[in-house]
Amino acid sequence: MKSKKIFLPALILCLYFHFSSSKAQLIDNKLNIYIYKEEFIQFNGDKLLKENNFIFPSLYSGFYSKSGYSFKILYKSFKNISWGIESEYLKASGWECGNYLEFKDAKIGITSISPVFQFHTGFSKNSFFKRGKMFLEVMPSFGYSHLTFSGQFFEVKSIKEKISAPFKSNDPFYGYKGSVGIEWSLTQHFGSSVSYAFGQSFLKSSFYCDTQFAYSQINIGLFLKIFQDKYYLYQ
Amino acid sequence: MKVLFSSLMFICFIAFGYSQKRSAYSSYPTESKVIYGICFTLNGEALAIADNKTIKVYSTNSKELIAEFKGGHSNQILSVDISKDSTLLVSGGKDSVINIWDINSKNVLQSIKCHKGKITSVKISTDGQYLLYGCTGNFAYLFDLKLRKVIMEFTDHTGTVTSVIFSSDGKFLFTASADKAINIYGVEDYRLLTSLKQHKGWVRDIAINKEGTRFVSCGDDGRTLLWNISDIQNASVEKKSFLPFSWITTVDFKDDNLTYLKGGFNGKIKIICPMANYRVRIRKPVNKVLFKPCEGIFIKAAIATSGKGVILIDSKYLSI
Repeated sequence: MKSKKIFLPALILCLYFHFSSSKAQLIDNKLNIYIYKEEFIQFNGDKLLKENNFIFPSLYSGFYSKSGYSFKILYKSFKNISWGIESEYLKASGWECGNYLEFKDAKIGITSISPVFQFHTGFSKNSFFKRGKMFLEVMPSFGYSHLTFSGQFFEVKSIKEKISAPFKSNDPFYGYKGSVGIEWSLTQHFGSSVSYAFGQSFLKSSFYCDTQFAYSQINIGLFLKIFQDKYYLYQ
Repeated sequence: MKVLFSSLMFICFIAFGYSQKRSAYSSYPTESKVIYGICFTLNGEALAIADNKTIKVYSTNSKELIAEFKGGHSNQILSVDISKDSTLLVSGGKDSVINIWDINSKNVLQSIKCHKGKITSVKISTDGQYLLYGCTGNFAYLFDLKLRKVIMEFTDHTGTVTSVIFSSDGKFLFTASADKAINIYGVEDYRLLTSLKQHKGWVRDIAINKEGTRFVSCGDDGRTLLWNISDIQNASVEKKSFLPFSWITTVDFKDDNLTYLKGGFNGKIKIICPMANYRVRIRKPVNKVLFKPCEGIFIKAAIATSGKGVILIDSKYLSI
């Protein structure tokens, strides 16, 4: 029943975009703003880490509940090259790793900022590329991982008072990211985008043994065309 | 099941409406589906179409190809014009070349290279003495067709010159530009008489009525302005219309001096008549619209589009 309720508005929406006059309003763009919802986020890597003959559970590989958002601004400098900046926030919770209980109830929030370099197909006035754009992005990324233990992880006894949970830790990281995807303009000012992104980041923390984390995700988003290339008629 | 049925009904309803509207249009066979330049002969019996690098002239009655002008351009032609006596045809385009063609022999009489940019608009004066053209390099030029040389360079604009026209009596010339201004010059002394700056974006096109009392302009700000130029020094806006989020790319005046039309990248065309307005939806960006001359009280117009080539519309099939 729920799927039927979604199906009809979705069909009407699709037909609206197909038959509306906005179909004609596709102009080469100069500046786009993107908002993405990140889905199917996967932290890759071993669940158990070895260090000095000891085995520790990995923090990042153990999370099973993950979600994220990202915000990106891209400026088109050349026909096939755009550049800009991306800000991303990813949160994860629900840690589980066999019988290990070290990071149970731990939560992380990863905030990063990345200068983006995008290589993409050029705009064409009368073909698939009038609406569509395929792209490849590479970028360094910088940020910090904010770790919170809501439960009691350490118990530190001082002379005067007992210090307990929650513990918090902010660990800076650096790394790289890449993505491949496709954009589809629905109107002159508005469109949707899907991409597959992957990345690896390096960090050091006194709370866990992970020195890096690698991840992959699907980004589903919308974009707004802010400035359009007025000269495209004469190019 | 109900959902599927209602969806199918919805699709059929839209498809039926779409097919009905299609009967108002007829198209000309062109190789390229992206056409920028079109021009009617004075009597409206022929239509010149800039089909990529070639100019094709069709009979408007039989839609047969009458003449073809080939080999003069190495890139897409953006603008064409025919002299009132139908002896000369002028074309200019992305190759920065203006070709003056002899219509009878179909040969290039003269080829002018513009070193300042791509040719965006060409126009022959009513008396056939001058050729006015504008380019992406912010300049407009006045070319004497008898002396065969450029006699004036207009350098007042700070943006691409998008459209150029002569007044009907040939005494004034108008240039529209990406710098949001419309400049009016006197032909005798080439002096800038006035610079009209009412648009808030690129001015894309201008058209003047036969009497020379009004002209209409449009632009990327979505505005269409009807100007009163009875006193050219004190030109004023008589009527304004605004369509948000759309670039109005083309305007034209009908030979009754009252009716005008506008078309935009949203694929919509509006014909503004004294008694009623007509609306047409092409669903492809409209680059140029021209009224077919000598149709009396009837309205026919040729539309150059990005995606559907050139379409001829007849108002008797259109909704008011």
